[in-house]
Amino acid sequence: MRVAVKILSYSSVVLGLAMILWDLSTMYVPRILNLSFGFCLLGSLITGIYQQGLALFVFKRFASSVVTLFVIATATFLMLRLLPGGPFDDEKALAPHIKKNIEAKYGLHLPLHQQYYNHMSGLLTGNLGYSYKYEGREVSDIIKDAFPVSFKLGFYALMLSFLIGVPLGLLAAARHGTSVDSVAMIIAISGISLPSFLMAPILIYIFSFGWPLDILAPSVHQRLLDWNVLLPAALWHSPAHYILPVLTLGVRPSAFIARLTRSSVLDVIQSDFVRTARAKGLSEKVVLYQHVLRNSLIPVLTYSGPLVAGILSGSFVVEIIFAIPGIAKYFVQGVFNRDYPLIMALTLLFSVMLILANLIVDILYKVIDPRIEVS
Amino acid sequence: MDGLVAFDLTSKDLSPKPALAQSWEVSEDGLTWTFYLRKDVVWSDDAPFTSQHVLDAFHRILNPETAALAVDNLFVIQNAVEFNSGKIKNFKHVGVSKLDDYKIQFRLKAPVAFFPLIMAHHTTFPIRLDIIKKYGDRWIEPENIVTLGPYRLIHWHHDSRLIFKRNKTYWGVKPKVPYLIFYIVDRSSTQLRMFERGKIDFIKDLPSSEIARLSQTKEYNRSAALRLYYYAFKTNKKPFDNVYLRQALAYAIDRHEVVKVLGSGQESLYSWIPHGLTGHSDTIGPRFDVVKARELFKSSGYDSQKDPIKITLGFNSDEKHKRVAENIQSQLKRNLGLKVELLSEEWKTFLSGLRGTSAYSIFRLGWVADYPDPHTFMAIMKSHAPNNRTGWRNSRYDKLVDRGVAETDFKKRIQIYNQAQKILLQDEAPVIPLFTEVNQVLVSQRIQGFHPNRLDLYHFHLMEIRK
Repeated sequence: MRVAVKILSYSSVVLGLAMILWDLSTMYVPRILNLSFGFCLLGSLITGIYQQGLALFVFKRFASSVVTLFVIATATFLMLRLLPGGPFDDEKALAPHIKKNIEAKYGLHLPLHQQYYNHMSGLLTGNLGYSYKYEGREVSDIIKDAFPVSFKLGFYALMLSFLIGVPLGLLAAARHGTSVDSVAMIIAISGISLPSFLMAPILIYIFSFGWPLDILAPSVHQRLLDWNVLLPAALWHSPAHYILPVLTLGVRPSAFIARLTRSSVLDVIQSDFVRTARAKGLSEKVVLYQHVLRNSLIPVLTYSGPLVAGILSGSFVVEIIFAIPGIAKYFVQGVFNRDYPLIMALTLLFSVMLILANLIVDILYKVIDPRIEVS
Repeated sequence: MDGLVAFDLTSKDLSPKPALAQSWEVSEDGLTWTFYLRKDVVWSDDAPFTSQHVLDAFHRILNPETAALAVDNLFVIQNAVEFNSGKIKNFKHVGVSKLDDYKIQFRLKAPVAFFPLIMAHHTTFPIRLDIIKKYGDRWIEPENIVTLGPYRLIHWHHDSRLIFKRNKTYWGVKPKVPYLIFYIVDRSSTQLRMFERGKIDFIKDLPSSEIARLSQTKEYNRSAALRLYYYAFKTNKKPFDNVYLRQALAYAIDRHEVVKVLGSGQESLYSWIPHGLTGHSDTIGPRFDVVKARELFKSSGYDSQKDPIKITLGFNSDEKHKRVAENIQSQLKRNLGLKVELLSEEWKTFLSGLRGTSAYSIFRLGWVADYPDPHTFMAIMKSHAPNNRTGWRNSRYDKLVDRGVAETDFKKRIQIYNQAQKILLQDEAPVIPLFTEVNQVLVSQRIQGFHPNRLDLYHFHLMEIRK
């Protein structure tokens, strides 16, 4: 069993890295790689859960999630109907019989309990219905097209924030009270306080338009243009298009993670087992990486649950500014358009993400610190 | 895609010109229109285009099961409303019939002088029912779609971009540019950045904060739009059931000032029919006149000192609407001593409020022309028109508008519309037109053959890239 978990998890890491590299060079991942990665990841999760003795826990969580999702779906359904104005209200008013036609087409003429029944049975059979606004498009198609884009953007932003945040926090804590600490924390604070709607244009002007070189050194600027090294200002067509949006989206969480890591490391450093480790004569490096870091990741993990769910289901501001065809704009426009089936599906999607992320976080708690009781 | 008729974008009045129909004629009573179709048109799958495809289009769009939203323009055709509302089940009774493969005839309920303009609207474009039946909702996807326009869709990444390729079998002027790429970009400032970065050649919807700067550039093009921006009263509620009060407000608002506050090219408007259409007149409608406004206010019986009226002005949350509303608020305070409260609501909430539950007594709305004829504007204020949200009813106005539709004599038609507009704006004043919008586009210097026009329509197949 133990060996199976190891093999599966190592191969999913390798396959995952291969997928990332493939995507970063061609913006396309072969289907076979996708499938085998999914297989390994799922396999390692299942075997891992079983091996850690968490099967019952996971099963219980799944059962309670079903109830949660049912409640969320019902509440969303009712709240949407309470909003004033209907999906087909527009500047141009509709003649009564045209309105009737359209209501008949989407089943909106039925009594509310009938609509509710239709909707819930649709969800159970995986039929999310048609969008009201994007005519002729099934909600499942919209999600299939747009969600992977948001997911990819969010995934890279997350990677970035962990890769920057954790080392930065660790560095600041290890050099606690020195100028390194102050500089790292100034960076972190500025990262937190800079909103993405400001961050994005600044990055665009610098990396896409070459400001201030275009004013200060036009010849250098011209060379940059000739070499074609300036980054695209928007859209999502090639890996070069990833850079600015991922940076914009990743900066805030990485700053947050840096601060969390720092304070948590400082906490752990003062605990008895660290003193023991030092007293044993272990080198500062070993103490920091093997004893302190692992234990100080718990608060970071707690923060990661909602962060992962939020960032993977899209960031409205970043997606709009960079014209990225992701899911986030549908969240906002869906509500403004009163596009009931679309909002229902997106709310459930977000809930599922949140539940899954929290479940994985709970499992990771156990992996990081076996003393933690999960139930 | 093409329709039977197209707008001539190079002409000043956007007159109809032959497209899929090479000519048409109308019977003497003005009720029967016959269109003669071109015989050399083929679809992109090489099937010949015939009148059956036009018939199918009308059948499908009027079918209640299709539940099309923008069909009301077709209701001038005999029995079209009845079929669309399910009162008539057999499409044979609707006034569209195929005389032979290249002749199609329309019978109207009442004469409509500008009927060819309606046939230029995309709701009337021919369709391929066999393709739609075969692929269902996916008939519009690039791998399935069959068209007959100058370009055909070859790639569609939903929410991101569309790519069109020149159609080799196109019947008309062969397009010069081989491919067109349309990017879907929601934010105007992002569009502008892409334009300035040289990634795109054409953008509409410029960010309002940049217009002053952009209007100085060579790429900037502007044309008055057939888009009306107006304020309307709830006339069946206090205080605006009082006609003198409505008139007083109509005289008390300086439209030039509103336009100046907006500062992005709008044209002030006093008549109901916008600039550039038959029936537009600069002398119709209450001009800005404070003295007259105060007189009318006095005759309304209200007194802003003793018994201040409660006026709430409603608009949907938006920077521009807010600026207009704030200006109107200050003008009414200055000119009539009125205290106006502003109420900004989310779009759909605002629209549901227009149906009767709202707290406001004045509200803003707009109207975009479906075709370049004054009737599209006059019709919305008819007594039972769904877009007349004022509660105002006037049978004399209705009769005049109906007469205007049928009138083919240009001069007589103007006279009729003058009378109707006088009732609407001066005698009764349920609405106050404020201004018309402008179409503003940036077009790269390398594009030739671009014609800014009031309909905001662009014929890319007539453009060229300068070498």
